[in-house]
Amino acid sequence: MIKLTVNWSETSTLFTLLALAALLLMQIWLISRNRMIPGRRKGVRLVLNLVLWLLLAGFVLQARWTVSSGTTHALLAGDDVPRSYLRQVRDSLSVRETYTPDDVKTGQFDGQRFDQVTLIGQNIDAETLSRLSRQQLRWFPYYAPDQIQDIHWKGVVRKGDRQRISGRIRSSKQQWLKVNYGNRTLDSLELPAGNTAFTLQFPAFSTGRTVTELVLDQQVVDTLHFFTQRAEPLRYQFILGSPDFESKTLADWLGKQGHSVQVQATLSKNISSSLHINSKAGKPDIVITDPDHAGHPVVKRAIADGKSVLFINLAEPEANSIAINRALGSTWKLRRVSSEQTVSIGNGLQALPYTIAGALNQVPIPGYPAAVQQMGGKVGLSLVSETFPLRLGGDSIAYDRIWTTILNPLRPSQQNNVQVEAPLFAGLATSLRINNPATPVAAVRIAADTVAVLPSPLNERTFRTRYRLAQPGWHRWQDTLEVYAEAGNRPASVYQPTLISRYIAAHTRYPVPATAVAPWADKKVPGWVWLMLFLMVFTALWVEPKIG
Amino acid sequence: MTALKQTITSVIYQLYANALLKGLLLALSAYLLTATLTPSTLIPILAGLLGFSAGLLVTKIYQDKKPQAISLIHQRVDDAEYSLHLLDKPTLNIAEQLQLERLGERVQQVKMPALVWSSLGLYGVMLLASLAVHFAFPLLQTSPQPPKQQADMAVSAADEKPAVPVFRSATLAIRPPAYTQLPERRSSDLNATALSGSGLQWQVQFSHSRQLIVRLANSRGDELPFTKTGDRFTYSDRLVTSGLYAIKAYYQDSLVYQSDFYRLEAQPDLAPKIEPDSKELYRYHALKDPKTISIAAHISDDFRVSQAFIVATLARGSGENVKFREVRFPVGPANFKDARITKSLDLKALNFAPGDELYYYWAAMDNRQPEPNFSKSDTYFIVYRDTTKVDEAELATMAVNIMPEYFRSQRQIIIDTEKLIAKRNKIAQKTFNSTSNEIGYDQKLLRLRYGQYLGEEFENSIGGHALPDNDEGDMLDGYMHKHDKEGEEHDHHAAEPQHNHAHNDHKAGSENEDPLAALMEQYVHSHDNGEVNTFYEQSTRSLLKMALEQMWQSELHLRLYEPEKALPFEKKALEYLKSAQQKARSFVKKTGFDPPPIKEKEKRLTGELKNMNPGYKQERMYDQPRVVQLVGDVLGYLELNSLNPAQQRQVQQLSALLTDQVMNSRLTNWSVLGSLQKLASGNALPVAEKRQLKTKLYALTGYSGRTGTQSYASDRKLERVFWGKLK
Repeated sequence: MIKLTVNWSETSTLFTLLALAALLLMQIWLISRNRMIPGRRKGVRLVLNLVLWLLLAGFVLQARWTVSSGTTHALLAGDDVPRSYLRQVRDSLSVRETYTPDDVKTGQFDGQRFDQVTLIGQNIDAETLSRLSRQQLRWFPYYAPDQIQDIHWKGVVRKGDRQRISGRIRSSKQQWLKVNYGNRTLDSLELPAGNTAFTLQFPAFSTGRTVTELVLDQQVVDTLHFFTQRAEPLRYQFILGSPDFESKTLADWLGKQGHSVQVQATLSKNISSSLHINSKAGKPDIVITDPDHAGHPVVKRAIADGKSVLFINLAEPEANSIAINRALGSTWKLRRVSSEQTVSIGNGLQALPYTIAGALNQVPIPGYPAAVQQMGGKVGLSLVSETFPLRLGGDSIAYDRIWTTILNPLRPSQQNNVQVEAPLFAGLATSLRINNPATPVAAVRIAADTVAVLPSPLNERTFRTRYRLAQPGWHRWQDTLEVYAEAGNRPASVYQPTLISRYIAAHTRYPVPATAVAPWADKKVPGWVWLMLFLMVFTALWVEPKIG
Repeated sequence: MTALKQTITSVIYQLYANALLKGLLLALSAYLLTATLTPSTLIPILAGLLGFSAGLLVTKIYQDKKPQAISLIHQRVDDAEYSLHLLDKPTLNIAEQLQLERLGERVQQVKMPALVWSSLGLYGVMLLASLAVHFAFPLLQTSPQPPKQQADMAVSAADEKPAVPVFRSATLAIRPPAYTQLPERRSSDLNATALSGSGLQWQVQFSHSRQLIVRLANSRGDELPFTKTGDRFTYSDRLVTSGLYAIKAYYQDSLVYQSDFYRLEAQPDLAPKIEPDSKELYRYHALKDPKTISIAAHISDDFRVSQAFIVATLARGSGENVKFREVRFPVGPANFKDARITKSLDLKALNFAPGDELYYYWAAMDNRQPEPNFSKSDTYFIVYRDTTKVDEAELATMAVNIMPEYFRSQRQIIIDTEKLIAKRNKIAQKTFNSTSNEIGYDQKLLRLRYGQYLGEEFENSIGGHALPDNDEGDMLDGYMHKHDKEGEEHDHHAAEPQHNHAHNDHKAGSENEDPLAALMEQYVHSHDNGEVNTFYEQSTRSLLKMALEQMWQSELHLRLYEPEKALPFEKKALEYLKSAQQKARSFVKKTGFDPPPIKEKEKRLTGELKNMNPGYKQERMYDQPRVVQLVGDVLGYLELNSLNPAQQRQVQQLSALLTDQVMNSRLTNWSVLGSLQKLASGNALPVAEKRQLKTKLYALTGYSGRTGTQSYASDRKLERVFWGKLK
């Protein structure tokens, strides 16, 4: 059945039709009144003019007719998808019909005909997606080579904690991926050609807003915003049999770092000395002691409370480790590696000639013969023999590095940990979590809102909520924290996939009841056919007088 | 007639003057009024012109005033009888002429009023009113915007309205020391790099200088005041060391201006540089060598070398009797910058004789003031070889050069022999034999060595060697000891001394010796007998002798290519040697104080603790801001759009802390300070500078590598069980 796409209710249509009719009459009148040409040619010219008129009428009326179409499945490809990839998908899915987001918006895409749409690529905007509410959707993302995919990092991190950037990339060649701060490289990774998952990590070093850059082959591919929470000073306690220079230097250093330190040495029966630096009330967070005091009540209590203990100054490592194991239930195993008294571990440092045979619950500290065992609390064991010469020698940077590295993994879990998975996008709801709050919380303040939080069913110390930041930029969280919301347009390779996957998730969660679909498709004469026809008729009209 | 006409003309003129006067008054009034209301000058002038033209319009100055004048005269002169029009008539009749004459007379009698001032009252009032408005208006008005003139007057008159002075310009003049002859520099760049000792003069100009104090502040916060000269501030000083400074200005005790930090870099005036041509510091002079030595050096200075000279010292004599003579030769021109100087040393003039030594060095002084820089080259030695004397050192070297004789130990000989036996089947017979012979030779050397200890000087007198009784016996017999005889001979050798020196005269075998000889022996001092003249006591000596005996035997077998047979003797020899060594040792019992044993359990920790503090306690606080902490904070501030005062203070603090570090690092990082200073004063940093600052500050955070943990707390019991089971 032929349908006409003419809107009869519009006056302009009527005028157009009247003009058409007038044109026909004029053509006939002009030809009939011409006496110069013989009758036979008049007939020919009349026929040609009639044909032209019909053609014109047909073009104006735009006739359409329905044909039976065998498929109810269509592809919708974003304009970022290259033709070759599209062809590949089309062939493998054996779908003939391909549309673009523009087709959907201009109405060329007939929603009634298809009950299944496969989306390809990520340049498909929200408006297009909203018009596909009736269809069943599938999505094949398309990432150009060297485009960062699925990137995640921590939106809020505590100073000294590890910031981890993970994602995937299809690398076009062997190249370096770096995370830079200023002109400094914080971490780097050599990517092989092909699909790779990457993880970059570094300790958070600043306080407050921090902006780092992800650099691929000297090209900045993304800018990562995160907020660094201030690290609270810890309480250290030294329990010693006799004061020695190593622990004295360390205590002094810790005090200068702003921590509270208590050094307790029992010199003899009833004689003890104690030194308080920046004294602060409360139980110690980290106890530093020698193996002789493994059974000390303070050490045992620290482990029971989930705090940490570090053993330094081992005299006879094998016997000492057994003593520690017996007192605290740890599983240290040492293996002698050299017959020397000490072995050099570089940088002028000496260590006892043992290695720590690893176990699953023991985390080695990179770069030093030391490790941390996870129990209720953490038990650290350092085989580094003497570090104070470094400090006395003025190499304070090396000293800082050693003890920051060794003590950092021993930090017990702190209060008010905030977990926000970046990137956050303005306009998209994000899950926010607070772990181990100082006091049980019922609500948090974000930007100008107060948001209720719920305890997590898995961990009673974690509270969570979902919140949608309306505006891009930094937003205040409680009093001291901030979270950064990315603008929707940037970075496109991350935002669009998030948007589409969220949409599809919502779409599958709230399905629209399927309705029967007519397997018919509208057809109409394509534009190029019209053009050809017009050209032919005009040519005939031009040629006819010349032939005579 | 003429009087009449004159009167009329005068009236006309008066009328015109009156009109003009009115116009002027109007113009003045209009000018004053508008000038009161508007500050501009053009508008009042326009208004004045407008008023003037209005006045002219009103008085109709453009009209002919004659009719008006005539009518005025008609009014004033009583009996003019309106006949003045007659004057216009071209021809007059008699009556008319008479009338005119009469009028002329009358007019002369009548005094015409001064028409110039007539009806000016209204205009005068207008002028007065406008004057009043003009002067009263500013007094009435409490306008926030006084007329400009008055504002200027207020500023220049008194400090009623204080204006904060604004920094205009600063220049720094650097005057290098006079001796350098460098030109004086003056620039607005306040970073100075100059020669140490240069005079520096700062000139700072502000928009005004009243109640303003300008100071020069260093990075530690010490301040030096500028002196005020006219409207400028100047400060002069001498550059001594490197450092950083800023200029601060205080207005009524509040800081109104602080500059960036600028650097002062003092460059030292370097000492003259001397490069002698000769690299050889020590050389010998022989008798036939030429007696003049030509030496040359290249001497230069960054400014001028004031003088250069050679100092030569001649040393003569030896042992304790050495005399020195120092001679100083000035060389080259004075006051040069760069020159190559040659000098020939006349050794003859110096009286350089064999056995003498000459030391010389180059020295130069530059023109620095007040104290010149001095530098000298290495010292060169010329030694005149005295061929007549033999150096003791040479003798010593000769002695040392002799290689010590090499010989093996008995144990080594055993090892070698065993090795040889083991290899027997693998090596050729010839090699085997020669090796065996060599070991035999080694054995001999060892035997001789030990023999020396026993005082045996000759090979043949050493160890177990007894000549056969008669010469016609088997020569080999002396070398071929029978095994069964061994013990016997040992005893015999150990028991009795021999007379080996005189073996030609005496019979060697003691058994065969006659009793006389034996008797004599006790009284004869046989000094040449090695047996008697050793330091060993008898038993040791006998042991050694037994060892030598064994060595003989082993050498014999070795030389006969029978190492297997030699081995037992070798071992025996070693055994004897060892026991001889043991015997030779003496043990002395030590004496001394033997303390009574301590009863540890009773004594331990029971010392007197009278002056001991049992609970030693110490409290310390570190509240100084730490660089690491501040760096972290400041890095966070870099992302903020603007800093609050507390944050600015922190940046300032970091800048102050870093200053010392920067000073120590010889000003390589001073850009960090500049950036921090900018940040502290609340200015935004450009992107490139911010990046640079981030890079430099990151190095100070103390974090590196990939370490770091995650702070996360969960149920403690669960956690403990989890980690406990994870093994």
